[in-house]
Amino acid sequence: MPATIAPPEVDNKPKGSHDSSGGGFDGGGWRDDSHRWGNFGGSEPQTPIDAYRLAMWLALASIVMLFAGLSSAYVFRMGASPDWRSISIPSFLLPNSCLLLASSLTLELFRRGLKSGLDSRTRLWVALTSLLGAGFLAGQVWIWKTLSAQGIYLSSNSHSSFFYLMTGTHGVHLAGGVIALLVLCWKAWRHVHVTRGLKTFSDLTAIYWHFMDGLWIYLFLLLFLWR
Amino acid sequence: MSETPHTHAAVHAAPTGFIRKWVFSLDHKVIGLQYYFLALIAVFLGMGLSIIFRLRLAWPTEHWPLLAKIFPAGFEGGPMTPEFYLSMVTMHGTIMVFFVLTTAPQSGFGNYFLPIQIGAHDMAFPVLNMLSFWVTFVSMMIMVAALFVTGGAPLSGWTAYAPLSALGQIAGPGQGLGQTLWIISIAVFCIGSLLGALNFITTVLNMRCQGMSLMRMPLTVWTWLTTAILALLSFPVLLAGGILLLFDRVGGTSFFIPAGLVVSDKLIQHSGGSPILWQHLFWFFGHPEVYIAILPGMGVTSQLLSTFARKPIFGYKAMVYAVFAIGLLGFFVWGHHMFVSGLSPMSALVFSILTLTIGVPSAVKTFNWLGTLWGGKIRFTTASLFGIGFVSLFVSGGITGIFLGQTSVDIPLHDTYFPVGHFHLIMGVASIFGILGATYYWFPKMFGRMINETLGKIHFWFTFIGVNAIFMPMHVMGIMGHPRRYAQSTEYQYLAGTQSFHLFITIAAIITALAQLVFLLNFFWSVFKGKKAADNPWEATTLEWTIPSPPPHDNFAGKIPIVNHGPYEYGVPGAPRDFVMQTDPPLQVRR
Repeated sequence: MPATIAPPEVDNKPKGSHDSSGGGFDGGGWRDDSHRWGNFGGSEPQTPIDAYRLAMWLALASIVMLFAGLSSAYVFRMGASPDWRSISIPSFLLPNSCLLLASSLTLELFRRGLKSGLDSRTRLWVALTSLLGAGFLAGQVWIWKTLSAQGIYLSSNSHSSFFYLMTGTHGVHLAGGVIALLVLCWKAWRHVHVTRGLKTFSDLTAIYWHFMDGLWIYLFLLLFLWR
Repeated sequence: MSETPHTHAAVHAAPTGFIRKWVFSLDHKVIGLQYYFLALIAVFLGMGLSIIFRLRLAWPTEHWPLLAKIFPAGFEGGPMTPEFYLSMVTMHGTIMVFFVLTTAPQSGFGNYFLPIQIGAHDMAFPVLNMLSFWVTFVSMMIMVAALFVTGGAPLSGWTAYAPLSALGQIAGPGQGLGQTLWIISIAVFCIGSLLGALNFITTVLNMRCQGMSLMRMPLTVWTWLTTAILALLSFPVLLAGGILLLFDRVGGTSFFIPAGLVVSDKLIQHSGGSPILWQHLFWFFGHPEVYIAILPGMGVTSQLLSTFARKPIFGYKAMVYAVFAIGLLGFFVWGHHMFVSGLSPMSALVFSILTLTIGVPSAVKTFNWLGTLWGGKIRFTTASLFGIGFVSLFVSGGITGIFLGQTSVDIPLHDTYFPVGHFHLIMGVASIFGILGATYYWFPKMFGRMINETLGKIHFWFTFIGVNAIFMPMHVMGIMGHPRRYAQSTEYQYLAGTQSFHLFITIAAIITALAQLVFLLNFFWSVFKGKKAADNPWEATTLEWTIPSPPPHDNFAGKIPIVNHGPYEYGVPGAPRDFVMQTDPPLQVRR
């Protein structure tokens, strides 16, 4: 009983530009799946929206590993030598942290506002978020300045080295988040309606921003509870 | 933002200008070739450096006027200085590991063939893809610059062990600007690799065409995916270490520099750092890096052996799980590089057991490759020879890994030539065989022309015999107690017997290097003058062989393939040909 290959059922015609609005099969062997593709950012219209979300989580995984590396160095270095001296919590650090926590709250208020459309109040929430984020960064720089005015420098002792280094590395990542927030502001002002692109961008920015917020809480606890 | 649906044809109008087409290209195939050629330049550079330091080992007192002209600082007083020898070793290792073994198999071939093999028109993020290449390019330029700056290249090895690497100028001329550039280059390289890894994982998980289930992906795709995961999680730790090291050098911190260190009769003003901390951070990256280098080679070997034995890969699922097991275990064995660092015997034992465990998935892979070859109608093309050569080198290098994974054997052999022979066979040459096998296999697809088989086979035999002649004697030298990194062995009586080994290895290295010129000649001659290649010259099954050679700009000319078959359906009973391509219609039994 011979088995054989059935005649090809594949329609080899290339797809035209007129029929890509639907999903699923178009009768032939080639699939039209344009519904899967996002139209986000303009330059890469063929990438599925899910891909952006996944890529964001992957980027966060690598940031976790970066800080895991720094944290293990912190813990290792603490036990490596008796020369460890801790610095006390800079007085402005706690209020400054509140700025960052507040920014996560206002970002969520913005995203909730998006559900009912883009009105001026919604736009104000995102503007406020950027302001709080930038304010936190400025506060961190100010804390560095006060510390160095007290004579606590990068190389003063190993705890201060880690303090400057970790807040700096966090700050660099947070600065990226502030840029994303400013772009989000610009998009929110430019658009009249909530588009899928705007929605995706705000979701991604929110994932990153909340993560940076959580990372800061972690660093704060690490640097000042475990010293 | 426009809500108009895009069609694939409309989006993929090929760029016409030279800059957008070949320089700042978004096309994954062009980016893959850019990575490939970057690695090709790097591998010849790295090989050249190795010949330079081999000259020092074979003829320690010889003068080399031509080299002295290029590197005057390295030849002060006549023969090559020991410092220059060490800087050559350092740069050879660094360039080979980062810009060849990490770049060619993953970023080069991965970029070119991963999207095609899963039926995607491009990577998920083409702009990011372009950025990752150019970041890597900048990194390489910085690294090459380190060869030519005042003071010369760094000499602390590709592992940049602290405190030597952390001290700066005082530790030697190359430890000044050269070492700083080295660290910056590696940090930049980390960023490029992270961007690439992100893109690879996203593409595999989100961009597969219909029917391309995970278990229908070619094993090459599985290894590129696993490698990308390893890169994503290990490079950030190297970056963290690099930042700390840079601050020790330029910021006056003491992460890695211990107190009371006296260098060149000067007390170093640092306190309390730990050189061991650098080893932990470095090897947490460094061990996965070994798998980053070799896993894609394993994928290519599976592809080659199955294709040229005309048989399905033996134990496809076991191969997938083995790749993942190797990748996963790779994160928990970094301590086996540190058995002589004063690690507690208890942790050494744990690291040792975990290390030996890697032998299990590695053996699964080896036996499955042999099972694939067993009883096959093997077509001995150059590509298949390199695939078989890969298995051979993987076994030779892997067996000695079992030796070194045990503390009792590692402690006397550590820092001798034995590990040098071991890791060159398994990480260096086996990976290179993966790259070369992939080159001979995919050459027709990439350039639309066949590469010359006769020259290819000459290249294979010289290389295969050559690398064994170079690295096998090193194991013996290691057992004889010859330490690594010594510029000269003639001054020690107990090493008197090893000078003939050095001479032999150097001559073998020169012959092997010359054989690579045959490859280079064959490569460029065939790119322009080779016989025109058909779409599927090897009668292979995966998606890249369903499209023209070379592929059109958007791979599938606006169409998305539908996959009905697994990746290695060779010799299927009842099929009209001895291979069933992945896009062939489902086999139907007619009664």
